[in-house]
Amino acid sequence: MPEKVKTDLGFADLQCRKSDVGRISRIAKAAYSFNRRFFGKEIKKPFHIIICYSRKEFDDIWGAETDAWLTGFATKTGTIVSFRDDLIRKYNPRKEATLAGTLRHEINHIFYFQIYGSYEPAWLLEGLTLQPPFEPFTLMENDKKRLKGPLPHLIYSTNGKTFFKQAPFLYSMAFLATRH
Amino acid sequence: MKRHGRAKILRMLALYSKTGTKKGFETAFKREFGYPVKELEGRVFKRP
Repeated sequence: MPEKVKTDLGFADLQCRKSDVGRISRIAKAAYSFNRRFFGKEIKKPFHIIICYSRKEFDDIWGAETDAWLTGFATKTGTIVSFRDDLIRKYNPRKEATLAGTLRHEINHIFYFQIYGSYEPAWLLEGLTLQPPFEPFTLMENDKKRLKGPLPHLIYSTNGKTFFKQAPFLYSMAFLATRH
Repeated sequence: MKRHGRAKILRMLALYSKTGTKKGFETAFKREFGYPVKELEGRVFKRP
């Protein structure tokens, strides 16, 4: 397996295969600029972007087995983990998912955390990035069925242990609440 | 939230970040938007 290299982007360091550095650097820089315009300010603390090339590598960083649909996340310590585009398309059930959208989404979380000191409320954190022009999000048939049943309240907190139980409601409810 | 606009949402978040608590969020939301967050749930999910 080709080794990864670390590249300094100024606002973050990027770890990916050498052959991906140029392309992913451009995507990451555009995603950072997009969020700087959204929040109207810079963030001071550099963060990390790790591109994964297998589910095992992704799960090792998460610290447990992840659900198959998850293709990117940001940690409280300032690390963004994402698959490369081809694996995002393979795993993510949303056909519109891309690396550019994933990085815009996850970098938004890093801005949010550095500016407001929190990843809460989870519904607003996620909801902000589910609206255009962040990443095109639509409710899938499963989401619509779920939303007809008894609903929990808007979800304020998540953590690694409860995330996969909350996620089916979190994203669709966050999308609807912030679209309103 | 969409109709409130980005600037208003970011202002509300700045207010919330002074406490970082759930209660603080509810207070900031009401102060900035003029109605409680529970009402947003009701509007969006059409609960009684």
